[in-house]
Amino acid sequence: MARECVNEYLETVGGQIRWRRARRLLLRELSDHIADQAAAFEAEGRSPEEALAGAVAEMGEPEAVGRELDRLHRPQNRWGLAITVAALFAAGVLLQLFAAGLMGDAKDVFYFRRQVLGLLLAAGVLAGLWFSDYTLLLRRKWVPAAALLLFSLAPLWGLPFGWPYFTYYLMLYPTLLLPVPYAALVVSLRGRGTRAVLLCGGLALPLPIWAFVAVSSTGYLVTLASMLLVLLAAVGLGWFRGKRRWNLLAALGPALAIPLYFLRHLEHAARRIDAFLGPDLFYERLRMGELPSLFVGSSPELLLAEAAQGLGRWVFWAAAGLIVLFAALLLRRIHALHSRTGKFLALSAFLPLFLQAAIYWLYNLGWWPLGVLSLPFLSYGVFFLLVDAALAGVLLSVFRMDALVRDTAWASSAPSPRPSALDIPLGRGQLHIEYRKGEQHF
Amino acid sequence: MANDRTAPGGMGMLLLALLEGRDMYGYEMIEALRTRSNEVFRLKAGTLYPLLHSLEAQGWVTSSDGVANGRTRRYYAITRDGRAALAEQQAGWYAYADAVRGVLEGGESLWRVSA
Repeated sequence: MARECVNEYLETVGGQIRWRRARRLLLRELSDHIADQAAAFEAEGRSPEEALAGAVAEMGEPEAVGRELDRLHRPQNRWGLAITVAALFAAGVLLQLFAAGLMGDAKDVFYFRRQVLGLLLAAGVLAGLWFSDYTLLLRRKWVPAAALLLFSLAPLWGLPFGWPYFTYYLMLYPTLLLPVPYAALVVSLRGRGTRAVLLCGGLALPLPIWAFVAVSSTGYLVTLASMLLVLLAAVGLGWFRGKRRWNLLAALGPALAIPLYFLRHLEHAARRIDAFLGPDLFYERLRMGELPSLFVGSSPELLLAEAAQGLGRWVFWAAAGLIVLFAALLLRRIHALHSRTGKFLALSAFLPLFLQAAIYWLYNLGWWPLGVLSLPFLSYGVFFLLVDAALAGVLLSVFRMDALVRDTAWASSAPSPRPSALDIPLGRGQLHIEYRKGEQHF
Repeated sequence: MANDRTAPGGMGMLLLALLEGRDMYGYEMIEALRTRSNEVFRLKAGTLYPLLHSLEAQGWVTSSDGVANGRTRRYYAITRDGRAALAEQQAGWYAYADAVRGVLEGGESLWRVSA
């Protein structure tokens, strides 16, 4: 009977809360409170039935409570970000329409149609992730590791189709999504010691290795840098036990040694770096604001350089301004998130987008020695569009769910503040001790 | 609710004062409020949680899941902004209380403040 009374109370409160995902969490808190109150009443000598009924009576009027909780817990959809991405999608299609000179050439028509189809798919991926529950990544300790493994093994899915072409896509693109499950892994290891930092720092190196195999040093570096920046942020905030200095070394130590080795031994990257450092027509022309002569038609890698040649150098400064503006606005939003877990996940989705844009800009000016990925949402490339849309979808999901995400408390190595009062059960009552602040007398 | 949250002497100030000592979960806060006020403040849970959640939306408290007595509980902790808001509300409350006391005790205290 009393149990029914509790259920009825919770159902009535829940009936007022429109957001289904919020309902479960809020009712759990109220239900815990009823259990605590009932246990206290039982300790006073009431029967379990009376205790539960009494606890429910102490809760307050359920409709009013539900209405108030509903008002405070609405999904926070960042329409501004969604509209910006949609505008960039549209601008990208228009740019390609002009850049390709879409008049009569059957090949250009094919690529344009392919990109439009990709854009529709990307919009679906973005919307799907936006309204999904990203906290699924954090529900169980093993989920981040499983997600990392799944992304790392992605190229093996290409085996039945033969290695060469299809597998290339499966090597490079899923790699760029790795920072998101990696951030979830860092969050799940919160509170551990220096060895956990070393594990994360070391793991960041082999995880994006498929990008390296696909001869995309930039893909490798963007993923690696995104993951390490997330790890450094966690270490900087004191999320791991032990001395911060050692933790920073553990995070960066492996990364400092190994990429140098790889870069030196990868023939393709080495050739590019030689060209970058030595006299080379490609880089020199770009630095002078001219298009390299080997590109007769339009290149998806040189959208900004092409636009600058037609419209003037100001295109670069406008692009840099927009990249910095978007980055600053997004970082401000990320900083304002309540959940620290959400902040890390958002950072892990933001960094690959920002680094891609920054590298694209540098490359178009002739100041990036390696290859280029994409100018997010704008440059040609169906798979890049899908990856970038997925990252934007994760960002939108983190913003949307912020009010519901709870960080897990953990025992901090820092001393906790002294309580101002202490209540100790004594006989039937309690002994109440107040600590006085200010002067200390010896 | 806004007044409860932001007004000096409002329930929001009392909750922030409780959390200044240590992190607490909801039931603990109601009990601590009751005992520390000599049974004067008996807050209903239905009032407490919306108030706590609005303090959280304001950025004055944060919450996290922790375990107490083998059960997961949602613990609330005061933030730096919350401490600043508490200090401001406390100052406002003491000034108000001093003024009231001055009136009740014959104006000496009020005269002292304005002199």
